[in-house]
Amino acid sequence: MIPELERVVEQIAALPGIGRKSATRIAFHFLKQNQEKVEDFLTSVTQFHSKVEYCDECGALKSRHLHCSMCTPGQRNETLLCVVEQPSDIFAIEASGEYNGLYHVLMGALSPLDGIGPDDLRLASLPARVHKHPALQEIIIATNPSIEGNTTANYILSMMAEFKNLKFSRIASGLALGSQIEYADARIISQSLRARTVLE
Amino acid sequence: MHQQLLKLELTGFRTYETLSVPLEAEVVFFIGQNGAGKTSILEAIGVASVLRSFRGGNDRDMIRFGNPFYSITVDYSSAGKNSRQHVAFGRDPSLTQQKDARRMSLNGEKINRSSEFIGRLQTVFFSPDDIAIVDSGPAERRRFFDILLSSLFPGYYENLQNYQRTLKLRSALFKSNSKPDNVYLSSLDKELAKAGNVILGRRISFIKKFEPAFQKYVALISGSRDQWRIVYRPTILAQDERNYFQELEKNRSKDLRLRQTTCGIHRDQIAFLPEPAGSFEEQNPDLSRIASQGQKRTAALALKMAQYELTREVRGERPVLLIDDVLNELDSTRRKHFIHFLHEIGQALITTTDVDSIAAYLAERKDIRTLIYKIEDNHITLTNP
Repeated sequence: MIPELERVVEQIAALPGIGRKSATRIAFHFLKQNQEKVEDFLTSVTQFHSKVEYCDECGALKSRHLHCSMCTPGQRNETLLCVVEQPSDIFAIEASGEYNGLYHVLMGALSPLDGIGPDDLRLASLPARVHKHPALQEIIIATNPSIEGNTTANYILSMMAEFKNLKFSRIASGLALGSQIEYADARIISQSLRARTVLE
Repeated sequence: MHQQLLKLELTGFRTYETLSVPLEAEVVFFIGQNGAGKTSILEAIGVASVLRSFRGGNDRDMIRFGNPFYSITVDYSSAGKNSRQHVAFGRDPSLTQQKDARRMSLNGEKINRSSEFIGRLQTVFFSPDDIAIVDSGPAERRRFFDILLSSLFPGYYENLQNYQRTLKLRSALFKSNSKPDNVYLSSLDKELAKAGNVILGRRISFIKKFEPAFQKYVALISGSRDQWRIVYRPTILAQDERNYFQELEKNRSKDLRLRQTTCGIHRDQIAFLPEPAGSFEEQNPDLSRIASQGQKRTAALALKMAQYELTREVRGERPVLLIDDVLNELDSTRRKHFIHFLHEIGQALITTTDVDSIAAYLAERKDIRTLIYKIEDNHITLTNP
């Protein structure tokens, strides 16, 4: 591989989820495009970096100098608040079309192995947000179904114990759509059975 | 009903570059000198069953020198249905991956979680090293039951993984912080209690069912001379998850002082004690301290025979036996009892160094189909008479 190509491939392969083979294919794709298109691409990446920021209120990604669409009064269902680990989780939940409530991004999960404690997350501002939205009825804790995510959910439940009028819920985990019961492991099946729903 | 192996295919496993062995018989013998590659064949089938080496080696060590990966494919029949299980570990050259990874599939369908893979093919492995289960520390005994419970109850494996992960996080928290936030620690402990409580309950109830089978085989092999009880000694005795959590809380100041998790299912002991209890003056009359070599060998053999029986009971199917060089280790009485045991089983794969040790068995069992393979320097030839 010539050094110029090697350098591009190395940079692209450093991106998440991309191996060297895909990186090489992308590099050749750039080569085939005209200069203008490649520059467009690069400009959008550079501008992305300088023109967005995280909302002070909820932690969602927003355009700098614009109001956060997740926090605009009257736009969202203010009886629900969903706690997520990452700003990108919001996009996944929004794409489902199931949810129209408020969000609160923690910017991670409690993880002693990575040295992440309660002070490193956006936890302290959570009670203040509850006070700010008097209509709030339920907090949905949508941290990942991992030990770290569960620990974080436990932590939130403890620190929010004073809010006796609020309902706290955890997203369900279980059988994925398209999976086959025969191949699913027993824990997933037992979890799915426990969290079963009534058919109407 | 029993599970039956039909065929084994290896690539880059241990000393085998490639290997394909038909296994359609009730008893399959592999005869060869030490180091000829007999045990590797049984080991590979074990990896296809529980994703672990019976020899305790890691995945990297099982890749043949110079190969980027190993791959094991096992065809077997279970409950009247043929299945194909495949596991590979290492770098996949076609994917230009840099890192070692494990890939699993079942009947061509990719499987992502090891807990969905483990326990489909049920095997019981007999080895001269089994004596370590009764003769070394509590870790070996827990390991024996943990692997068995994982293969019988897939949910157990998941809980064990969660427990070990949480334990790791807990000790990281102790190390990084001299005074960890109490709420943080409690949040972790809830996860530890969730997994720990399931494991504890499963171990206690399983060992209760396991003990009579074990005692039956000990009596059989020893001619009723030996008698052992299996006693589970928990460091946390809890009725439920909440109770388990409360016990963790009670130990917290001690844990903080010592900066480790001092109690829980990772510290529990499994004792083998003489019966009747009063006849030994030792303070700690565990089998490992008071039994002779022969008694230990008997107990180790009985553990595996009980594993066979419980597996059959739980799964409703007889598992495949993988018997590695055990026959030569046994004196004539024990060998006689063991061979008698082989009469009631489904399929067995047996390695041995010489034909003589199996001659009596073959003469006795003209009724079943046998395959006899000779192995010399990783070359395998069928030598059925």
